[in-house]
Amino acid sequence: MSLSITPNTLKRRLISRSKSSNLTLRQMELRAHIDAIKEYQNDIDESINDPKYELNNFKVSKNLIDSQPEITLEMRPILFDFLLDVHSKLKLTNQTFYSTINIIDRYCSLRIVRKDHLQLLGLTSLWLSCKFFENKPKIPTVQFLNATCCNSYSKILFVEMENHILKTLNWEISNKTHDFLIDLNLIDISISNEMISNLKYGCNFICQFIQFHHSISLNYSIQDIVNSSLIIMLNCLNLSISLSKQFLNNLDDINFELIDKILITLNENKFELPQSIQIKYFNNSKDLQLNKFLFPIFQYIEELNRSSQSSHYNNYYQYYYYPSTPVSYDSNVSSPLRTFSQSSNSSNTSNSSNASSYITPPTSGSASPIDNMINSKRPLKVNIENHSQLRFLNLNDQKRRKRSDEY
Amino acid sequence: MTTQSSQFQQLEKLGEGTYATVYKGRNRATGTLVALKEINLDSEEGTPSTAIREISLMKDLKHQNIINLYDVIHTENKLTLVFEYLDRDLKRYMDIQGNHGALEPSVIKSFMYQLLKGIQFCHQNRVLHRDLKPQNLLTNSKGELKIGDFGLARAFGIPVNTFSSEVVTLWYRAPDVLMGSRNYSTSIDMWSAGCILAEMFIGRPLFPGASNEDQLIKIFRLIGTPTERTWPGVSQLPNYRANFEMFVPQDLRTIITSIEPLALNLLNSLLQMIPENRISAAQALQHPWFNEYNGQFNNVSFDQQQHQQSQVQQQAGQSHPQPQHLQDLPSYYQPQQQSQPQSQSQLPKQQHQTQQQYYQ
Repeated sequence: MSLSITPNTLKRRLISRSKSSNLTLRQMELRAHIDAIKEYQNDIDESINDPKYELNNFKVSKNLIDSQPEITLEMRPILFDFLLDVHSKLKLTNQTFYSTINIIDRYCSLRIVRKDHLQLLGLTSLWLSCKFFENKPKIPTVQFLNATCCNSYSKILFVEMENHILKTLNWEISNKTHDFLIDLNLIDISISNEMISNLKYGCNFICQFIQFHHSISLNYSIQDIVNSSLIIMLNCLNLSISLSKQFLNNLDDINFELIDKILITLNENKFELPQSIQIKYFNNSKDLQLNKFLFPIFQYIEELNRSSQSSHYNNYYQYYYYPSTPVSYDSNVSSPLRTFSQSSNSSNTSNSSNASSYITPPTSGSASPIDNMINSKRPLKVNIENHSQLRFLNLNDQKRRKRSDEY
Repeated sequence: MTTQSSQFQQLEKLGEGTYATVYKGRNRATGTLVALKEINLDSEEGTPSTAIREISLMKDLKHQNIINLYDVIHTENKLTLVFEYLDRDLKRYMDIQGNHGALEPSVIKSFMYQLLKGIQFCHQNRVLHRDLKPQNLLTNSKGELKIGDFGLARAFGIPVNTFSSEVVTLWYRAPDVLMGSRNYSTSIDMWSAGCILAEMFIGRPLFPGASNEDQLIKIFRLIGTPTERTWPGVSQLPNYRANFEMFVPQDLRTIITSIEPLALNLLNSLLQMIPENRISAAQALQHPWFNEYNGQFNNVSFDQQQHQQSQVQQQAGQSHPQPQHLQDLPSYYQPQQQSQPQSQSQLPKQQHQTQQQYYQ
């Protein structure tokens, strides 16, 4: 059941522990990492934005997964809950978890999976991801994997399943995971390292949580989910920072609908988080205050609720859509946003003049719908009173529908 | 992946690694030569992680300076990777073609340029090779150089303290890795490239250390022992010792007497002690030494051009067989100003055709 511990592994763990407690060393290493990423940032951005990448390699088909004869979408959270548990027990890195789910989804898009083989598929996917991403000592043995599911399968089945997955996926394991994209987005942000790690931690929490909700994880791209989680975290931590260029470029197509959905889902499930998430992040308790790094998310949602209920509902948008509202948007400051807003078309000039009392939105192009929303102080209040806790989000839906009518 | 292993005729053994054996093979249908890397599968542990990484990463790496992975044949107890076949590795090439192992400056430049092109492509695709050495660089009679053996390669991108420091054959291992830094990045491959560049000039390994400690001493003796003053933070590295023997930096010309100034400058930029100061592959490709490949002549002084031309003429008059290493290369590899001596081509053209057949 337990992993075999040799003196060598012990020594390695000791070194690793002493290193991770050494701040100077960690900073040196972080600097080297940032330098390397920056050097090749353009190429990496290009490869991420390459539409071929999404289409060919890692396209997961929700329809095909949904049309599986034996397994249903509702089984996914149960499986993922189990897998995240194993994942935490083995102290694996975040990318392994994301990659595991990606492998499962891609496999389910291509092959029919028997109900009694779903767990086998999950564990083997975890095994494969470990082999790709983790260090040798952390890769679990078949015995260990089999023990986690009460020895339900024979050992040979794991090896056979592995072969089958590799053949089905054409050996493509090296996908770009959520945490890589999070890291990339934060690479040249100028805030303290501590804040950055808080941001990353929170984003990873949101992204992992989202994996349990197929209505989001299967309908939106990884990039969209990551960007949305980042915006949410930036708002939660009240950070006014200059976002990286990459991030600004993507700001144009930030998916507000997705941000809403994530916030709704978080709010709806905050007292029924998956067990594995509770264990991993909240010390196996339902008390969200236990994790002081994540509690701001829920506080923020509360705040949104309140502000949407009060008459200052406009604050909601303001607070929400301008993650980096600060000084740098002053007309004098030459922020990268300036060129951005100048270059975009000015079809909404009338709106922007109306909105001048608000903080200048990051981009006039992308801000136009927001301006519309801000300006249309229409019957929203009416809706509010009839709804319960989540009405701020319903309200938003209303608005959105209105907007689409207008266009 | 419908290929059967019977499709290939197994010829002589080319080499044996820690987890695989490489054979020369021939495609029975087309006659194309291939390299077959055979990996035995453990019934307990399934496919080795090295194989998963190598195949998964190489699928994304299609470049003229990286060995092409044609196919994977997966049977119950054996995994066979079918690679493009090249005549010999750089080590053997140096032994056979070199003057006591040392190569001609123009050959070195061409090889180095191709090596850096290959490294750049890996790094652009977020892949660290982590085992660059002459044995893993393959050449053919056309003078092409391709990077092979991605068994130790890893994707990079997340700054976690997870990489092993047991990477890269000792002689080509960077000092920061030797001192225990495990969060290395692209700079690890650039140090190896520097060692290879020097080795092509002198014909033998630059730092042939016997142990981790000895390797560091050999590096310090030439590059100088780092101190907290020359390399802030060095004392934090796990294997750093305050009582390292102190050496002052040496001029590399004392060892590599034949080196031209521009090549020396590039070598110095590659063999930087501090990883962050090490030149990147993209930067190295822009180095003035490669101006002839980049089509920029403005920065090269007249003297240097003269120097290069006289070297070419020297080569033309030389008796020992000179590979026509620049002739069949894509146009951007070809020096624009000079005409290369045309020697008899042996099999390259034919081979090229058969390879194309393979694709069809």
